[in-house]
Amino acid sequence: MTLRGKILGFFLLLLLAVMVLLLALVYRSTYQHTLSQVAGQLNFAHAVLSNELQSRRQAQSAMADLIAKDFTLLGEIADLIASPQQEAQSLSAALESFASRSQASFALVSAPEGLILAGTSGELLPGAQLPWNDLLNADDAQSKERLVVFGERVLHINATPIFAPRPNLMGWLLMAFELDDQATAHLARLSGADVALLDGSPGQYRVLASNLQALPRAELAGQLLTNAEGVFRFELQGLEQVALRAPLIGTSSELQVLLMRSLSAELADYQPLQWQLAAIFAIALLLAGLGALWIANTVSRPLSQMVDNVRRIASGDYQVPMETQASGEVGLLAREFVAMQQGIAERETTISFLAYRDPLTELANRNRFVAELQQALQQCPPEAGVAVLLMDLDNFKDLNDTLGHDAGDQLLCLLAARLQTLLRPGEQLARLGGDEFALLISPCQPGWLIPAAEHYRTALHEPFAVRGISMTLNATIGIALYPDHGESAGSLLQHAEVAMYLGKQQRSPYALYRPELDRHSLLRLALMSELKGAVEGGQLSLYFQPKLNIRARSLYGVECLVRWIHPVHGFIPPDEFIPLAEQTGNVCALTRWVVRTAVTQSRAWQEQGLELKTAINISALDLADPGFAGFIAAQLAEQGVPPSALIVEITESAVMADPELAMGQLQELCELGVKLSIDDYGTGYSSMAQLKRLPVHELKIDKSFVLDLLSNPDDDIIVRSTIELGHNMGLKIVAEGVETEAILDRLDQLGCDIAQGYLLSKPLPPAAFASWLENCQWHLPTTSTEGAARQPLPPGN
Amino acid sequence: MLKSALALLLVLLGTLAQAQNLEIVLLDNQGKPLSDAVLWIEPGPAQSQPATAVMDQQKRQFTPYVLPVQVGTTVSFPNSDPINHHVYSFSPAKRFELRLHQQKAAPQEMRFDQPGLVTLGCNIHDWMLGFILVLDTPWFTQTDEQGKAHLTFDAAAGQTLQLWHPRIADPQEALSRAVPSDGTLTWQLTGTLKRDPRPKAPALRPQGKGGYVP
Repeated sequence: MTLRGKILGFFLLLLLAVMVLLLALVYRSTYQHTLSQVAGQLNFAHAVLSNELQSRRQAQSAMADLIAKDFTLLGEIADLIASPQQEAQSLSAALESFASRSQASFALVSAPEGLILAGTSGELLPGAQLPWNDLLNADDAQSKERLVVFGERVLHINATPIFAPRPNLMGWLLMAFELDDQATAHLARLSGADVALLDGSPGQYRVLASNLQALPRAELAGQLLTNAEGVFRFELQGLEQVALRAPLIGTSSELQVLLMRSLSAELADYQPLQWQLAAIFAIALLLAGLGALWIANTVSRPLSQMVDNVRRIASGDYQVPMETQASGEVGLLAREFVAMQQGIAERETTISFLAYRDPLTELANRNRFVAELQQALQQCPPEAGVAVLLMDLDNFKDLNDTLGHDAGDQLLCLLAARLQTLLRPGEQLARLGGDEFALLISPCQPGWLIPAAEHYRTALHEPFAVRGISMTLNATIGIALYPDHGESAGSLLQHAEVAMYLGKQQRSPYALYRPELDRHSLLRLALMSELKGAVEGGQLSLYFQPKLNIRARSLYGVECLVRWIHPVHGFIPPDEFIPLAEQTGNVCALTRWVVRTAVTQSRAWQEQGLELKTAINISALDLADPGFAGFIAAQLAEQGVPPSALIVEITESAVMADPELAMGQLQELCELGVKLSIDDYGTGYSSMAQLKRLPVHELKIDKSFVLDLLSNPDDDIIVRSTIELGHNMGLKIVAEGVETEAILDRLDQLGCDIAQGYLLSKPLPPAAFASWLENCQWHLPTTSTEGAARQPLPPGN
Repeated sequence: MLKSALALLLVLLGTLAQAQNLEIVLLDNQGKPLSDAVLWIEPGPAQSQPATAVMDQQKRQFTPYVLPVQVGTTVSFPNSDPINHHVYSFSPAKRFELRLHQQKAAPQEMRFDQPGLVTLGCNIHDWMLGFILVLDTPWFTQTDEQGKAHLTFDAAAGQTLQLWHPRIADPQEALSRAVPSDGTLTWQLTGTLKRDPRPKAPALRPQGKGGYVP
């Protein structure tokens, strides 16, 4: 509900309530007043009626008295008494005359005891007894009267003794005066009220006489009039009546008189007043409604205007001119809205600034850059191109770790400032995050790319001074060009990044994107998900590279090397997928597959009578696998391969990553009887002191020291001292990268125990290795039980 | 004059027959003397002389109030008032009416042939009430203000003494008794007397049901 509606509703309802209340009060008081007035009138009418009836009775009594003394009548009666057999015609005729004179309904003469002698009544005939015998008292003969109901009629009966003379009671004169409709009509006129004489019980009244018409009279008979005497109300012919009910004086029956006045008729006098009041109220209501509407408008119009304005602000339009002409609270509110509108506009500017700006360098951020790039792509003319240059600092992480983030941030700001000064028209700069800056060149030709990269690299020529330290920074720039290297902003950025990583890899200051780079990087992503399936799906195989016992010039054993032949991509080098396996957590499953395959192969050789030490490589992560040693033991036991036939090779760096953890796991393996070998010795930072603590049996000198052994005196020294040192510690020394007989001879001179390298063979798949064994120029070690007898090798595996 | 003639006659008769005198005192149940009572001896003599009597109208009253007469007596009705009277009787013993219009005219007469009580009324003056008691005997008397009365009769003929008074209710009292032999009788009534039936004459001012004061 709107404010306007509320104000309007409140005023109108209030007024309406007051008016209704007033009307109700006026009606009620006029009603009450009329009621009490009518009640008073009825009481008065009753008094008038009573008095009138009394007067009539007196008049009738007097009349009866006179008639009772009429000498003619006495004579007639005396005649009748004197000769009872005679007919009473003349007496009846006389009585008729008297009745007519006195306007009586009928007149009778009875004997002193009540026996009717003569009369004018059709019902009460001579010879019958009078029904009102109790009125006649011979001893106390005097005039008596009564109202009686005779049949359906109300009669005023007057019994007058006839003396001839007093106290000689000759008989009784009985005169009946009917109180009929005409008489009640007269009474009604006199008293000013409707009159009804009735008897009977509620709902079954007999209306004996009334001035009412036939219809209301019939309805009155069926009324359930209240039993209480006094003034009461009821409805007759749809009109409200006020009535007074009283017993009639001088009656012994249930005869009652009902006096009525129509309240509706009385109230009708007030109807014009009520209409006038209603008209006044209607006009007042109209005026109040208009007034309330006006007041409501003065409040609500500025408010609804403000609501419109606020809606426009909500939709982002801050240029709404706020009208503040309104006075009072509404004006104040409007002015506050203006202030709020300005505040919102300022804050939104800040927010949008933050949303599209890098807070550190105040350059555009990635969002802004992408947006600008998209726009540039859309507006790019067909013959032109758009270039994305991605600059990433080298070793920034190390610098951050060494000097702290504050210094790093400071450095980034300095770089951002320098880059900004190098900006040329059509070029935009953004910081994408971390130490990554991006340049947008639009339009751009392929020929401009390298000069542009060189141009921005000049920012790095001068050293940066942070906290008094002067340092020179290096950065790599990856370049991608639209439309050659990508159609969308996302692909261009991605490709520039790929090129940037290529540059880093190649230690080149900048690199242009090439599609094959990306194919490679995409492959990596695909492989990650396929590696697990490869382990289980038989895409992996073990290659074997033989090891030679130098002194005996006999075959010592093999190193097992895992190879992945992808059904689509073909051969995938281990350098590529093993780090991938380590990253994706699949390396343990991979190692277990290697262990299982190697042990199975070892068993095969054993069955052929060959005693070859089988070496496998494990990852640092395998050392963290608590069930690893147990798994190896189970495999060995299952295949019946002695633990001493298995050599576990682990790189120096893997051991040094967590020496304590490695120590525990290696100790367990050692206790199992498995031989342990340190791979790639000499490339890491391990000390002899640390190695001494490990349960190691073998050292493998890295091939980088062996390849140039003959030509590089330093390598010779390293190899020789390593061999001496290892021997002193009771370790066997394995030399990798043995490619010539000369090197082998030298190693023999130096006392190296075992040689491995292309001199013997490159790593071979199982079938090739089997045939190599067939043609082997070296002694083949045989198991003691089977001697040196050669067994035919199984094909494959 | 008539009276004295009658007394003379009685004396004569008494001397002829065996005349007996009776002195009566009539008392009501309160012991007070009762006047206007009629006492007579029955049965009367076989033959008797008709007599005359007067029932006058004086000051709107019948005078006397009670008049005992022997059967056959002619009663004259003079009008001593300056106003008209309309005397009537509806009694079975004698029904008549007399319009007594002229005060100075000769009194109208009426002969009473049947024994019985004749109640007189005036059709003009309702309160006027008088009685003529027609007796079948000449031996009757009336009590005076002291309740005393004197009777002389033939003891051989009459043995029963009868009594009538307008205030005595008939069934209440034994109204006849044997004639006492010693000639004196004090008759005390035992029943309560009725009130005087004579209506009161109206005062000069009109009163009654037609008046304005109830």
